[in-house]
Amino acid sequence: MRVARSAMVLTMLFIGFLIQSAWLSLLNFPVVIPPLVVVVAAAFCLRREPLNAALIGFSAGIILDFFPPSTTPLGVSSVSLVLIFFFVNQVRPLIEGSLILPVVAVALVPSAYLFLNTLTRILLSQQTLSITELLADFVMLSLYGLILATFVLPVTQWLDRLFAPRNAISVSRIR
Amino acid sequence: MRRRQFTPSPLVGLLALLLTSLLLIAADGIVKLGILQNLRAQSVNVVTPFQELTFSVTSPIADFLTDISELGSKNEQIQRLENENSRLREKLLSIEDIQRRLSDMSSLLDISARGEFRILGARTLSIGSEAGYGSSIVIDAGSLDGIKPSMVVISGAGVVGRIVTVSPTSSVVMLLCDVKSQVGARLESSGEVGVISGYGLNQPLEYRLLNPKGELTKGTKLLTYGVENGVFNPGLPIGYIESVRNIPGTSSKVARVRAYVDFTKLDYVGVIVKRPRSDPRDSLLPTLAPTPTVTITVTATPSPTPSKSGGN
Repeated sequence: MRVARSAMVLTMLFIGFLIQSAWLSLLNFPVVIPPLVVVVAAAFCLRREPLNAALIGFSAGIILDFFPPSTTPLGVSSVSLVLIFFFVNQVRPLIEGSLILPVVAVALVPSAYLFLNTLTRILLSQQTLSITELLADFVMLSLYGLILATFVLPVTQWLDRLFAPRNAISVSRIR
Repeated sequence: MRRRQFTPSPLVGLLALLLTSLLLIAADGIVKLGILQNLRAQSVNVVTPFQELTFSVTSPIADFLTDISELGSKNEQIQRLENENSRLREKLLSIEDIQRRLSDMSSLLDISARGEFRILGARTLSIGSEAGYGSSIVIDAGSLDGIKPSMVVISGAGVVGRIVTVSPTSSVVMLLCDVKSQVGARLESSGEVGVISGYGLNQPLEYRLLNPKGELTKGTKLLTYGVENGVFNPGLPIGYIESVRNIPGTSSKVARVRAYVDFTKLDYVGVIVKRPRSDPRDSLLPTLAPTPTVTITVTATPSPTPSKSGGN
């Protein structure tokens, strides 16, 4: 079941990537393309252990960098997402039980990803910094993140329950 | 004996993942490792069919959403095109108007040149009932321009009417079709004389011969019959006989006449300010362009009949 769960997460990330690259990118959204892959990954990471969360971030980063139309060197997105998801997972106990805080946490992940990704790219001399553009991207990414998180979180929760390990269910039943 | 499961500490795992990522960056971004470059190139072939499938499934929704998002700009575009369209339409109308005026003036100059009389050009200001004259027009020429009562007004097609009232800058013209208008007219062919009477703006004129036994034929053209010191000049085209009917109880006939001038569409007219020395006779009558005859020749084409043998 752990393998099925991991496969499900990877499949969902890949589907998210396909929707993002083949559909959302063509919808002419203002400023940036809605970051569906990052939001899906963040939604899953909130329900995982820290190491698994970092692994999800790593996988999402590889998908984002590896497949076209990306021209970013492989690993750039992974570095950012691994760090962000590990950190988000550390604050998980603080947001657990709330209905709104997980949505806000997931919504802020794309902006944090943009910040770290931009830093990494600057370090690699792959990008010049434009503060105004960056600010506009931050605002729009947070907005898109908020909208996407509202829909993505319930779906990921339902999928996680569907693919939950048997012993986890039995433990919860005993409790 | 229970087998111990290896679970790395989260921090170690994090570091391992970060290190892997950095190694990948170095391999792909800095060293540009061939195998990674090839894999990335191959990934295009792997992911493109999926992307095409996703695109074909989602493109109708994408189109719909794009249409909604561009609704405002499309409305603006439609508005802009509508404005441009109306502007072009106005331009076209003004060009047509200019062409029509040019044609009016050209025919007016032509008739005045052929008739050898001097005219004063004027524009129609209004058409309709004016100052109790039934069917009349107001023109923008008056006494200051040398216009006097009883002067004859013509257009490029023929007689329009005569001046009845003159003010310094405008004049009222009683049209030939006015119910009070009675003008002496002669037939083109026989020269028989009669009187043309008007019956209103949109009504045909009526022609009665002075000689009750005179012949009236459909299609015969009518011209003004001018007498010395009379109002109308001789030889000005009026119209043609459209139909002829008998007056009940008499042997006289009356003709329905279609005027050459369309009294409802008058624009440029000319006031004859100096009469010609001689009668132009029939020279001012409009000459009809010959109507082309369409000949259709049908030639039978033998249809190919397949031979039963199938050969040749």
